[in-house]
This record gives sequence, structure tokens and C-alpha cells, in this order.
Amino acid sequence: MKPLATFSVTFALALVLTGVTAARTRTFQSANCNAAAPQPTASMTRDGQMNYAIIAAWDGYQWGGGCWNNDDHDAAPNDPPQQYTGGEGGDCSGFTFKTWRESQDASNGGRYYWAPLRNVHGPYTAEAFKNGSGAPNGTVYKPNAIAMDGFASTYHIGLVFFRGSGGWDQIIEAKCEACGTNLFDETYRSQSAFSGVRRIGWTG
Amino acid sequence: MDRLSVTTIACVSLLAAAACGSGGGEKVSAQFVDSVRVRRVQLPAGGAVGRCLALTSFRHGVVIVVERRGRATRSLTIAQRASPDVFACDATGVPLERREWCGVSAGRLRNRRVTDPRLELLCRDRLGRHVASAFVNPLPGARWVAVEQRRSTELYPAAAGLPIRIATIAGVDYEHARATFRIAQLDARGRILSQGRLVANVAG
Repeated sequence: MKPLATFSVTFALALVLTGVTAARTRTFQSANCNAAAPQPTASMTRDGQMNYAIIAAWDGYQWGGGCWNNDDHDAAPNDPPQQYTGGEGGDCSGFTFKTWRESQDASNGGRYYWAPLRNVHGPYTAEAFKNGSGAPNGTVYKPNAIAMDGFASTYHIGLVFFRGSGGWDQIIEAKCEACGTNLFDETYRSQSAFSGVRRIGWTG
Repeated sequence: MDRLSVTTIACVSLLAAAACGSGGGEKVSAQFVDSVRVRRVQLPAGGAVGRCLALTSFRHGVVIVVERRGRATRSLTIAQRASPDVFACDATGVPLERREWCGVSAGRLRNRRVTDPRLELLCRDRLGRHVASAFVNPLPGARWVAVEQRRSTELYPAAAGLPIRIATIAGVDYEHARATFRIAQLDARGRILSQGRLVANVAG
């Protein structure tokens, strides 16, 4: 019986250790996100995309990320800044890419619905959005920016949720690891570092 | 250019010697040495440099411009004394939306090192393949960064104490907005200081 007992204990220990290792390497992304094909859509309204954008609020921030659920909880808080760790949330440009229903093909200006749990970032950085790179993207005179237009700087992009007064706007943005994705009052409209950017092709 | 030619020849000789010495009959892939040119440019500037600068936040004063010409890309790395920002413009000869600089990246310097590689994937080559460009921080004493391409090795000289803008067609994972560069850093005598993979994500 002794060898059998030794084997059983060793086997159980191995199982536990395997589980611990697996748990360590399992990320929010690998456990929850998918690679489903985006759905082409004929329409894209500003109201509709405000509803889409708010799903990401309270669900975290991930540098280089583009996958989140809708439980208003960051499943991977306190990641190291500027490191992709497979956590929950988008970063500013990944969040904008999905909310603006963009194609991964920069020459395609069509509209594509990406499910929140579809892990995709897209090819654009904040700087690329700022310069209007890609067929779906353009720029807009800042005073004319309305809901779901954006303000982009070299390092960040956020989308107008409600237009405020006195230079303030309520912006929905994937802001940083510590601050997450949410609605924030910002003065991007009046900051020279930020340019107005617009998704081309709204249908309402 | 004379100085560059001398260093280029010296480097190729050194690497050939290193390959012969250590390879023991190993097949050595072809090596290509990029050209580099460093200049100080007073703003505002015209021409291709000016068109790149228009996509950056530098508007006044003097900037340092590192121009590289490689197998797949031509790039400008632009920095300004006392500014934490560094920009790169990438070109493949295939314009993006009629812009010669198909990619623009902005990085933040901390102790003269970029905090993120600032991967750029929007550029395509003449065959329509995506070209990945990214910054590499040279190690102390590093004179060259060698990048493994599909059938060759490309050597990028360090210059002006700035991060080195490298590019590849191998290792591009466009769907996941990611690229893997196989790189080695070499000192002035061609000795390998480090080698490994740089995995970069489009982010921020």
C-alpha cells in the first residue's frame, strides 16, 4: 500500500501545482475573449454607439487591449502601465476603434460591429487617429465636435459623450490603468494638444 | 557619408569575421546595412522632413533628425532637446492616402529610452504586405541592431543616442495588431551584447 499512497500523494500534488500554474498563465483575455468575425452593418448612429461605448465603462483598461464584458468590474486591475498583459478593457485607441465600428483594413471605410468580448485592438494609435489615418477617419473643427466625435492628442483619444459648456465636455475614454474606462469631465476641446477627429459615415 | 561608408565596410567585415570565426561552416544569411544620416533642422522645415514634422507636435526651434534608409522602409526619427517626445515617420514608397509617410508614431522618452516600442503597422510594401516598424532602445555600448528578416539580416546603426527605428515584414501578426522582431544588439566590434525577440503591440 505504501507505494500506492506515495503515488497518490505525488499525483494529487502534481495536479494542484498544474492548476496553480494554469491559473497564473490564464488571463482575462484567454479565458473570456473570442475571435468572432465582425458583423458588417448598414447603419451606425451616434446614439447607438453611445450605448455601445457605455458598456465598457467600469470594465477596466488594458494597454493594447480591446476586450471587455459588461459586469462593471475590472477583472484585471493594477496591471503594470504600458504593458500588454491580457487583462480586461481596451486602451484609448482600441476602445475608439471598436466604438467607431472600424475595419482592420485601413482602406475599408465600412461599418463593422465588434462584440465587446471580441478581442481586437485595430491598427490605429491615438496619433494615427489624430492625423486622420485610415479610410474611416477624418478630422473636424473642434467647436463643431458633437457626440461620438473625438479629441485626439499624440498619446490619447477620447470620445465626446455629452457636450458641456465653458470648454468642458463629458468624455468617454479608456484613460489609464489606474483610472480605467469611464466618463470623465475633460477640457480636451480647449487644449491645443488635442485635435478634433471624426468617424466618417454616421447614418444618424 | 564618407564616415558612414567607412563604418559600414568595417561593420560588414567585422560581422563576416565573427560569422567565420564562430560559425564553423554555418550558412550565414545575407546581411544588409542600412544607411543613416543625422542632421539638425531648424523649424519650420520644408520637403519630406517638413511633411513629417507637420504630423508631430514640434513647431519651433531645432530638432534632431535621424534619417534611415533600409531594405523595406525609409524612416525619420525626430527628437528635440529638452522634450520627452520622440517621433518616427515611416515610408515604404507606397503612399497611404496619398501621404508618403504611411506611418507616424509618437513615443515618450525616459532617460533617452522609449517606454514602449510604438509599433506601426499601417504601411504596406509594393506587394501589399504589412510592414511593421518599431523603436528599439540601444544598450550601452551597442553600435548596431541586427534584425532578422525572411532571408537576410538587416543592420541598423545606432545614431544620435536615440532609439533605433527598425522594420520588418517577417513576424507581422496584423490581425492581432502585433509584431515579433528577432533582434540582436552588437557592439562596435560586432560582438553580440544581447539577442532575443521583441514582441510589440499597437497601443495607446
